[in-house]
Parts: sequence; structure tokens; C-alpha cells
Amino acid sequence: MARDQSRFAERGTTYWPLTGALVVLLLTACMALGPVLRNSAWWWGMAVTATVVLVSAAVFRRLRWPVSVVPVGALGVLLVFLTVFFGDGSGLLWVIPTPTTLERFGDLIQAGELSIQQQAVPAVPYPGILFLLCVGAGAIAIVLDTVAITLRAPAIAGALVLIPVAVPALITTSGTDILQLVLVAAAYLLLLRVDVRTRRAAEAANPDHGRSAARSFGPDRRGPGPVWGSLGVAAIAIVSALVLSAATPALSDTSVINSRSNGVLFGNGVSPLIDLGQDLRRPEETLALHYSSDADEHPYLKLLTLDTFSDDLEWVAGHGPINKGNGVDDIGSAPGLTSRIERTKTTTDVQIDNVISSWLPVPYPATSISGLAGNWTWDDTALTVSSEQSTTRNQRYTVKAIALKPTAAQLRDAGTDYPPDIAALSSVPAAAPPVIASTAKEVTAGTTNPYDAAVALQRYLRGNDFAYSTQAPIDQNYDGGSLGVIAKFLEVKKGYCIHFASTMAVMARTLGIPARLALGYLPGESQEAAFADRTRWDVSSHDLHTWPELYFPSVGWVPFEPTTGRGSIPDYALATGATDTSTSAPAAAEDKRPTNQGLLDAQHNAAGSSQAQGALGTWLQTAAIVLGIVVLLLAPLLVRRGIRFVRRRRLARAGPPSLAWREFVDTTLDYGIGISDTETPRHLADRAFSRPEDSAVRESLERLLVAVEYERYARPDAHPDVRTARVADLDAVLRALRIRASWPVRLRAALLPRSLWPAAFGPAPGTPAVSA
Amino acid sequence: MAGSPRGGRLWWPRPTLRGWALLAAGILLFLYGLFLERRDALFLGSFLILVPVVAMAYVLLRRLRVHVSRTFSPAVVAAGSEAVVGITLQNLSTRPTYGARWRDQAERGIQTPESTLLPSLGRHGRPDEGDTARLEYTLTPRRRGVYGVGPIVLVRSDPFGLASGQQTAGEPHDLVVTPRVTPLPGNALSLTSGEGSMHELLRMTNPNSDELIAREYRPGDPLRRMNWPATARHGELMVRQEEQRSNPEARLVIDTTLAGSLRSATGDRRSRMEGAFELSLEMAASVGIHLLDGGYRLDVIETGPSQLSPGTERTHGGLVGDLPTAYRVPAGDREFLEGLANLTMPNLAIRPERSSQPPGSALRTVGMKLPTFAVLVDPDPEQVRELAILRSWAEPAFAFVLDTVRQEAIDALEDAGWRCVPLRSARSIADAWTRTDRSAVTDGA
Repeated sequence: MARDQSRFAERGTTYWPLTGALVVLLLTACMALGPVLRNSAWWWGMAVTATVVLVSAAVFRRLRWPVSVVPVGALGVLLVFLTVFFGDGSGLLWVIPTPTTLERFGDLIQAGELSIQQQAVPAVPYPGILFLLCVGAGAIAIVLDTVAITLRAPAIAGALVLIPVAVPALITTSGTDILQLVLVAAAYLLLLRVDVRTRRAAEAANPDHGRSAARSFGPDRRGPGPVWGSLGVAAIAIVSALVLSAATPALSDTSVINSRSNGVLFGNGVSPLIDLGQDLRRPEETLALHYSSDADEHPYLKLLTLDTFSDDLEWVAGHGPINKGNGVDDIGSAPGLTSRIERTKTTTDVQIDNVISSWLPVPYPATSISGLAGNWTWDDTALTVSSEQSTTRNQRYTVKAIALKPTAAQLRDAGTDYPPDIAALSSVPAAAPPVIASTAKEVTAGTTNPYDAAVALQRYLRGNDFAYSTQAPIDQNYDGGSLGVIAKFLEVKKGYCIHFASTMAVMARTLGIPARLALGYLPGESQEAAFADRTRWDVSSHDLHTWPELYFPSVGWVPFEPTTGRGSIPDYALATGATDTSTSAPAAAEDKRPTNQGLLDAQHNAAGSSQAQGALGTWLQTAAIVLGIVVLLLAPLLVRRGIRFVRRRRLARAGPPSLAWREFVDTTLDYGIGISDTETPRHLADRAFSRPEDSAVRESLERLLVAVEYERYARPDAHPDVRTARVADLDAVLRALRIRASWPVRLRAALLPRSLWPAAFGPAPGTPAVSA
Repeated sequence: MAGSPRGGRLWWPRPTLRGWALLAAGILLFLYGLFLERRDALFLGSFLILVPVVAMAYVLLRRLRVHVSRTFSPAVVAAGSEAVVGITLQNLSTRPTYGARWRDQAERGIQTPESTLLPSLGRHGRPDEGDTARLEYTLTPRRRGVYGVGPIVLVRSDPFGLASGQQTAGEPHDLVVTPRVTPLPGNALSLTSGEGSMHELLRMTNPNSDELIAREYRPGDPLRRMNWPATARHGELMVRQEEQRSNPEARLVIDTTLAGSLRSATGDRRSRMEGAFELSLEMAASVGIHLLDGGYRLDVIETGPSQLSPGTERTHGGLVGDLPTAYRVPAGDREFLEGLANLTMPNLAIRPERSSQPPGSALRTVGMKLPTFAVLVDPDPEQVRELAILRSWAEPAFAFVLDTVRQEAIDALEDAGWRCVPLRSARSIADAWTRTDRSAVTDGA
């Protein structure tokens, strides 16, 4: 086993069986992604990519490419492959990636990321996701090939295929399918077996030579080897592992984390806002409820309303006494709503999954609810539905509601004629930090009516200055929605929905607009499945949300969406006018999960800025990438030039002649003349300049040679006059080398100097191979 | 036998590097699965742990049953020359062998090659499958001695390269490595004292000579051998003496006690002694073979208890009465070399028992002066005295003295009439011999 030749791949050897085993292993591992993705097109995509990459690497080996170049070649093949299949014909001759192709790839990556974030598992493999999967499969294939074949360490390859295998385990709660794992394990053992056989075959084909080497003469048996033995070992190991893992008693069927976060306990605490924050920060996302609705815009599902401040300046629900008579089969009309406002009737079917609360998630304003179990009542002012005895657990109900479509003009003309009980909701406790009011004034300067002021506030909070973060308030200790927190939030400008909503509500109040907080769920994500004959939408625990509602006379309570990067801005809340159209597109696309908020913020910020700025940014980004690639490509050249520069400078300062000689040798290497270890300087010089027209340079070379030879062979103190090498001689010799080289050789010598890493490029053509 | 595994023992299989890696990764994954209660990680972890374990069990159970026979060619090898070890391995099992490796082992001093693939052997009793493999390698022993070579070590491994186990097969065989024999120049016959036997031998080579030796007729001589002219001359029946019975003998004294001042040597001096001892044996072998080739009967006298022909009566040392060991062609040269190969460095703590018998009393041909050669490493004064006495039965008497011999001993020997020829290294063996030849010639003239 301790034979050197089995340590690394041999140049020119193909290792087809290993490649085949790798293909099998990688394809099997990709199958483990099955539970995460729908249908099977993605698997074929990954399979073809991985196979193409691995086979191309094998072909390159067959073509006797140096082992270090094979992965680079495989990477090129992957790029070409992606260009052909995902480039949309943007590649040169469909094959060679162009800047347009790269742009397209960038779009695909972005789309893929978005799609991953938006979709629940199992996700539909849209082209973006497919692209990412193929890129991943290709990248893993290249690394696998390098590790398993070039470095001859196939056992480590197992760690690499754990990447696709681990994905379902990380995403879904049930973990990776055990059957998949069994298949991957079997494929892994196949790889190990093939590797053992390959090594044996190589060793049998190249026995040790030499006088004292052991020689074996025996039957030349070929065959699969101990098939039954291999199968037996594999089967026993896999079956035992199955039994062992199934029989481990400590495991509950669902994981601990899962069972802990099973129910969203919510609404019972002193401060529901703090609970909400904790829910959002919980890493495990659980399905809160699912529903379907015939509304055009999918509704926010409101749980409760917070409209008063407690003594410690926290928002609390200020609903009145429970009126037993308010049965949910007929809910009163929304306060302040007049018939002037355009409306549509909607029906929403809701199935609660994991929310346990005494508040019922319903769209606002609801008109009737049917199908509820237990005794539920509605609140006169907020129209929220709650129960004293019952909880939402496993409720399935149908809500009839109306979707209001007030126009901006209506809101603008609503005036400030608030009813007294509503006007009370425009007060701010005296202890409120003055910065809130002053900021509000600053932001809304120039607005003439409450609606424009509200839109200005919303735009301010959704602006580039603010960032979404569930963690920053914890780190800097300003969690919650109290008034003191708002001041801190305005300073730090990082927070999540509570902060945005609370800030907008309080600011509105300082401007005299009645405002309150609503707490509930975002519309969630659409699924392919159906629920109650309509598209099913899933709402997860991460869709918990808070938003402000502002009161406009004759319209009633109108929700706004100030939280940057979350929810969608209602049409009426978009300021009318051409300048604001650009925000609608990103806003519409911003229905995302908070866990990836950093990325979303970046996108949001980029998109939110003006288009000119965006274009500039894109150009800068592209330029930076191109520059980076250029620098990367030129790195060998720069390093080589640096070495030459240092040597020349040392030589100019009376450095030893061997420096000049080393530079000469390296340069001959660069130009592919090559050198063998046993060659004397004079041999090399004769070989390099053997033609008669080299006589001019021979003079300089001779001086260099003499200097080197004196340095090497003469007594240290002898002949000081001839043992200095002149930079001019060196330059003359190097120039001669360069001139006689053809331009492809020159180019390669400049861009990829062999002398930097002689072993990587194998023996130079001019050199007899040390070991054939 | 230090350090080399012996016998038909079975070693427990152990994981290879790959097996260890899998075990380690498996334990990590298993713990991860256990603590985070992930059943998939638990499965992978147990799988990675179990595969090397099952592989070890496979290796443990799948032992090879083979028959091993072993030959050396040549059977006796001189130090520094090559011997081919041939091993025939026959599968006795009804199962083919796969993926095993073999290596041979030997006692210290012999270099065996790295392990090599064993050809896959077919089932036993199926000649069409080929159940026999021939393995061979060449070894070059550097030093004289008898080395146990074998038993062969078979390394089995599982199909996945995760575990390997070793077993031995067959028995160790002894490889006899004789001292190197340097061909010596000259004709051994020139050593004989006197002229008689030499002239006789020379005449025998010339059948046409008239001067055939005639002797008186003895009853039983065939009539056709009558030498009529001589009969006429002498007046009595004479016969031709066609067959000369020439029985030259020579004596070789080898110093196996190293009894002198270096007796209690340790460390450096000890290894110097060993080198000198080996050199002395090389010299003795060269001289002995030269003499045997020349037709001599060779009496070898050891200064210590006899190792060449051990026996209860030969414990005193050849100088004080033990019978010398005699060698004679045709088989003698090989016996002599094998005897030398078996010689071990004397245990310096034990002196040979003193005998009451006078020196040389047991020498076989008492009264005849035999050519005598002594190779001396480190004789003590007692032995020098005994050698001096032996001188009277020796003609010529040469002592090859190594540079470990003290000057007093050399002086004493020369006083007694020994010719001392210094010997420094193995390269100067022939040279030293040439000097004896020249002196013998001058002596004889």
C-alpha cells in the first residue's frame, strides 16, 4: 500500500471504473433531495450535469492532460454546459459564455434564491432553482473527481456527498429518508470496492522491478472478485445500522426541537409584542395555518388590535368588555366605514394548524364567520374575534369579509373630523420621547393632509435608512414596542415589524391622526396544493406580523405597511404620481421570510434607489468581477515577474551568479525547453542555444556560465574578477530566449509560467520523463 | 528471531487508515444523531461504525488455508552473493483467494521485499482454475550465518480496504550463508614439504616416461603390471607403480575463543572483534577450500570447544588434545563451509576446560610434519605457547594474524618458528596467501 504510484492519479490513466462509481454515488446522493423538491426533472438535470462533468474529467485524463489541469478543464465543461442549457442562446455559438450569459446566470441565481426563500417544501423546481441545483451538482462533481481520483482518496468523497444528503435533513423536520441513506451508503461502498480493485489492478500491472523485488507467478484470474463477500459485508453493515438506528430507544419520533416549537403560544402574555419577536426569532419555522381565499389581494389575517398604552408605555389591547351577544355569525360593521368606499365581498376558508390562541386570525373587516367550534365573540371597536374558553386549536372556519379599496383621493379628502372615541386614539402619553414628534414633523414637512403625512411616514420607514433585523433589537436591548424603544429604534434604524409599526403608529398620533397597532399574520405563501377548491396558502410562524392602522373619517381604519422588506403596500398607501412607480415592483416581490432578511434588505435597498443608481451599481459590480477575474488570471504572470524583478535587483547589487542562472533555468522552463536534474549548466546552455544564429548571445551566455561555474566549482576566494554575473548578460540571454519562441509559447510562458509550479505541468516536452 | 512474528499464529484484524477514518467519522455522526435525536444521522453514524467492524469480522473469518513449500537456490549461499527464495503456495480451501498480499520474513540481517499482491488462487483440486502460485524473490545476505527464513506472512483484507489481518503459513527454513571464499592464486601442491610426493605426482602426469617408478612385487599384484626392464635390472620381480597413492594433508587452526586481551571487550571493541572474527573465518574458508581443491585432507583445529563436530569429548579445544575435524573432497568442501557458517562468536565468559594432555597429543598424524595454517584473531599467551609447541609438527607453519593480535603474541610465534602474515581486510586475503606461497617456495629451495 505504501507504493508511491497509488498515492496520486497517474497522468494518462483514465480510471473509468472510479468515474462510474462516482457518477453512481453522486446521482444516488442527489436523489436524497427528493422530499424537498417536486417532480423529478431536477434530478435529471443534476444527473446530466454531474455525469457530463465527471466523464469530461475522465476524457481529459485520457488525453494525458496534466492532473492539475483536469479540474480546470472540467470547470470549463461545466460552464459550457450551463451556457448551452441555461444561457438561453446568449452564448457565443450557443457554447461560449458571454457577458450576457453571465448576466443571465446572475438573474437565474437571484430567481433561484428568491424562489427557494418563497417556496415551502416541497418546492417547485423553477429554472432558477434548477440552475442552482445543476451548478451545485457540477461543483460537487468537480471536487469529487479531484478528491477521489486525482488525490486518490475516495473515502473522503463520502463527506462531499453528504452535502446533498444533508439538505433535506436541514430543511424538513422529518430528516433525510432512511431508504435514500441506504442507497447512498451502498453507492459509497461500491466506490470503495471499485477503488480497491483499481489499486490492485494498477499494482498488478506495474509490479516492482529490481533485483530484490518480490515476484509472483500464478493463475491469471480475472473476475469480479469476492462478490458475495462484498455483498455480505455491505448487507450486514447496512442492515445492522438500520436496526441499530431504529432500535435506539432515546429517540422520540419527532425531534426535540420540533416538538418544542409545535404550538405557537401567543396572545396570553403580558406583552404580545415581545412574544411575537420571540416567535419570529425562533429558528424552526412551523406551519401556523393554511387558508384559501377568493380575494384579489390575499388578506392580512388579524389576531388582535393594540390601541392603548399601559403605564410602562407598552402597547396593550384596549378592547372593551366582552359582549356575549356579539355572535360571530353576524359581525357589526367596521367603525367609520361609509358606503362611499368601493368594496368587494370575499370568502376565506381557514384551517388552523399550530396556532394556539384565544384570538382568531381573521381578515379585516369580517362580516361573518361560520364553522367555528366554541363560543366566540367579536369586539365592538376592533372587530377582532376572541373567545374566553375556546382556543384556535384545530379550528376550521369560513370567514366572509369585505375587501376595501379606498382610493388615494378619497383618503386625501377624508378630512380630520374624528368621532370622540376615535380621537382619543390620537393621544400620546406625555412621557413619550420628544424625538418621535420632531422626527414625524420633519418627515411629513410639506404635507397638507393626514393621508399624505401617513404616506410620507411609510415611505420614510421603508426607505434605505432602515433595515430589517430581528436580532439587532435584542443585541442592543430595545426589543418590544414601547415608546422608549421607538426613540432607540429611530437612532439605530434596525428592527422588525413591531418597531416599524409602532413607530409609524406613534408618529401618526403625534401628528394628530388616530392610530393603532394590528397584530396578525401576513398572507403567507401560495402552494401548488388546493384547499377548499382554491389555491392553498400556507402561513408559517414566521409570518407573524404587526402593522399600523390609521383612522380616516368615512373610511375607517386603514392598514399601512411601514416594515421594510415585509408585506405588501396596499394600493391606496402608495403615493400617487410617477415617481413612486418604481417602488411597487420590489414591494410586490417582497413577500419573504425574515430569516433571509439581510439579503432582502440589500435587494430592497438596491431596488429602492433610483434606476440610474441601480444601473451604475450593476456596472460597478460587473467591473469589479471582471477586474477580479483579470487579476486572478494575471496572478501567475505577476508573481513570475516579481520573482524576476527581485532576482535582477539582487544581481545588480552583486548577488551570486547562481541567481542569474536560476532565472535562466526558470525561463527555459517557462518556454518549455525543460531541464533535467542531472544536467550541468553547460549542457543546458548548449541545448538551449544549439543553432548557429545563437552565436551573438553565446558570448553573454559564456560569461554567465563561467561565473556560475566558478561559483560552483572553484575555491571560494579564487578569481573574483570572473565570478560576477552582469544583469546585462542575463537580459541578453533572456531576450534571445524570448525572441526565438513562437508567439503561443511566449503567451503561455507569460501567463502560465511553468517554473512557478513545475510538477503541476508534468515533465516538459524536452525532458526525458523520469519515470515513464 | 527478534521482532519477527513466528509460527502459525493468527493476528487479530485491525482497521486500515481508511477504516479508522470511517470509524472516527461514524462515532462523530452517531453522537450528533444521538444528542440531537436525528435518526438519519444516527443511521449514517452506525453505518460508518459498522462497516469497518463487519469488515474486520470478514477478515477474521476468511482465513486462508494454504500449503507452503519453500526452496533456496542455491541451497547454500556465500555471503554477498544472491540466493533465490522460491515459495510454492497451494490453496487448500474450497474458496478462491482474493486480494491477499504476501511478504516473507526473515531473521535480522536478511532483507525481505515489501509485501506484494498474491495472485488470486482458484479452488483446491481444480487445476483448471489454477490453485497454485509460485512466489520468489532474491535475497542477498551480507553476513555469514544461519538464518531462519519464513514462515510466509499472508495479509488478508476485506473487499473495501477497511481492515486487514495477517496470518503466517508454512514453516521457517534455515538459509546457510557461508563465509565468502576468495579464490587463492597458486597451486596448493607447492606447499608440501620434501620432494617425494610432488615428484611422484609430476611423473604420473607423464605416462611415456621411461623412468617409471618400480617397486618390488607383492603378492596379489597383477601380472600385467610387471615391469620387466626393472625386474631385469634388479634381479627380482618388480612392478610398475602406476597408481600413486598420494595423500597430502594439511592443518588449519582457527581461533574460536578470542581468548586474549579483548576478552572482556564491549561496545566498539566488541564490534571490532566481531568484524575480525568474520574476517578470520573468511580467510580460513578461503585457505580451506583452496587446500581441499588441491586434494588435501584438511584437519581443522578449533581453539575452543568444537563447534564443527560437537561432542562431549571435544570440549577442550583442539590445541590441547581434542581431535581435529577432518574434511576431504568430494563432500568436504561443502561440509567445511557449512560448518564455518554455523560457527558462532564464542561466549567470551567461558574458557575451554584445561586438559591435562599435552598439546598436540591428539593430532592424528603424530610424527609427520604437516603444512599448518593458523588464522589468529586474539590468542592468549597460553594458546600462543601451545601453538609454539605445535610448531614442531608443522612444516611449513603459517599464521595469518589479524591486526587484533598483540605484538607480543606475534613475536612469540615468530620466535617459535611460525611465519606470521598480517591480514588487514577481506580484500587482502589473496595477497596474504601469495606471500605464504612465495615464502614456501623460497623455503623449499
